[in-house]
Amino acid sequence: MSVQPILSVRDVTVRFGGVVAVKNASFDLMPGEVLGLIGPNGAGKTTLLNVVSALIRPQEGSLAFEGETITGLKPHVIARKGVARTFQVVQPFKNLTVMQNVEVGAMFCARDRGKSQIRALAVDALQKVGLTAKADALPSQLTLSERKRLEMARALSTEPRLLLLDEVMAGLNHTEIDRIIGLIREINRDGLSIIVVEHVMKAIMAVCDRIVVLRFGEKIADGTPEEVTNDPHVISAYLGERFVRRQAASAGAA
Amino acid sequence: MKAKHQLAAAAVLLVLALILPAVIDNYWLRVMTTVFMIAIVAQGLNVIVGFAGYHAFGNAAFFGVGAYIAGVSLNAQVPLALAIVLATGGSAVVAGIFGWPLLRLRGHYFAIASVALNMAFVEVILNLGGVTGGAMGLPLPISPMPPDLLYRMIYYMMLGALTVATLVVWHLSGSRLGYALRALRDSESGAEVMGVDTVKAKILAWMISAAMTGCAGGIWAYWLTFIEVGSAFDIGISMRAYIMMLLGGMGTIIGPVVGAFVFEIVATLVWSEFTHIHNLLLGMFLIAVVILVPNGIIHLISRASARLSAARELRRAKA
Repeated sequence: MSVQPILSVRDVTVRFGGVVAVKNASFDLMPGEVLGLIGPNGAGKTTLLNVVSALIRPQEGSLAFEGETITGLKPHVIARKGVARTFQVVQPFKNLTVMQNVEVGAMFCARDRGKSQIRALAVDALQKVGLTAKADALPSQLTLSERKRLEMARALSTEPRLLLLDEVMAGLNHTEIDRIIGLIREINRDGLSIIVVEHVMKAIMAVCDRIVVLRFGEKIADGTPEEVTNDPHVISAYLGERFVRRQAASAGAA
Repeated sequence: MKAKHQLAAAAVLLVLALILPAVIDNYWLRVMTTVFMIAIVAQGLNVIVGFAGYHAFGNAAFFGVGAYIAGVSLNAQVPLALAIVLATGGSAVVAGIFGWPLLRLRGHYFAIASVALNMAFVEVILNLGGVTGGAMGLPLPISPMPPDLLYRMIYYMMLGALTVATLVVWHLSGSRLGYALRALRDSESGAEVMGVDTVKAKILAWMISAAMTGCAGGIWAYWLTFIEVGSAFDIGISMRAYIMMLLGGMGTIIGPVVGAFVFEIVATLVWSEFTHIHNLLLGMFLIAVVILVPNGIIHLISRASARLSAARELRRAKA
């Protein structure tokens, strides 16, 4: 059997002047898969997401979404094809209400949609992330956790088939993180393929089917969470010995 | 203020403006015609600045373009109505052509580029000579109508154009394009990844903005019967309209109109009463505006009415 990957990244290189942010990165994402993208700060994780959502054009390499080459397309075209994302630093439309924020995605990602359909999609997305009660609030009136969930609702309102999540858990407490983990599992069950960039290893281990590790723009590992967390290169480059001891301790306790 | 309330207020203002020429003298007729003219320019700025957040300081460029298109057309025996339509449409086309490269620039770079565009147009007209009159200026055909009638007609032309401009802004505020502009004003990348074609939205916004500004310029040329680059491309036109838009409330429907009215009336009264220190008083007025109503009169009214209704709720709860 051969299932076509929903996203394939081939030999992507991004340079900012003399700095190589991403170097020859290649990976595939299979439909319905949740892929974790981890690595130290500056490893090129966000840059890679920016390449997929076309905010950055790579100097080399190619991208295909659902078998179709998408290299060089504009961001709004990629979005309309079914790739949605959140931003690490949340970017709400601060003069629009929460509801209107979410409606933008529904409004522009499918043509010929009536007002009631747009509203229904937005209501649905807000309900999924648990922001229904805040629909008429302005983004400035939301907590950080709520703003992160607003980012997710905005992405979901575009009815994506691929969702890119850029550190949606950074700065949140344990309860809030658990809530987002539940949310990611739920939308994955709905059939979405997801790429998660995250430093919270607990969350990565909980939601990811596969993990890609980047360091200085290069892929140094690609495998199941177990394979990756036992990989000595990954331990020395990112996770550290303490993580391994803690994993062993929690495995022993269980 | 809700769009509904703003529209109701606009309707009241329109009725007043329609009957006004019956009761005012020629001096105030001219003042009010100027108010409408600059209010159109302010509405034009509202579209690109208030909605899209792109600071088109050089929007006077389209006032001049509109004036010259109308002037050259009228001299070529084109009927007045068509000349104004050409001024409106021509300005939009020019904005489209220059917006295509310029609106790929983000934020402040665009503001500077728009000022440069204004300066470049001055040079083009000066060096073009010929039908534009170049540095000599351009005399327009003088209307055979009796002056009283003519100035009343121009008053109603400006009022009509302002009404249309305000209706366009009202329609925009609830439209897809309006959403796109307000979204990209707050986060351009955020809007892009949600499917908004930001470059197209910005170009359309600037074309609408230019059409309004060019229309005002066209009617102004007919009114003045003589135009030259200094006054047609006067950056002061954009600056005054800018202040009016801020004073009234940018991104609102009738804010720029209210701002233009308040500013121009205050300026006129100050001018006539204190001829020696009018600039000083205007400056103090401006500072007061920036400190006391930084978000504009319309926002001030909505805040006051929100407070009033909250107080009413509280009293009802206590009773």
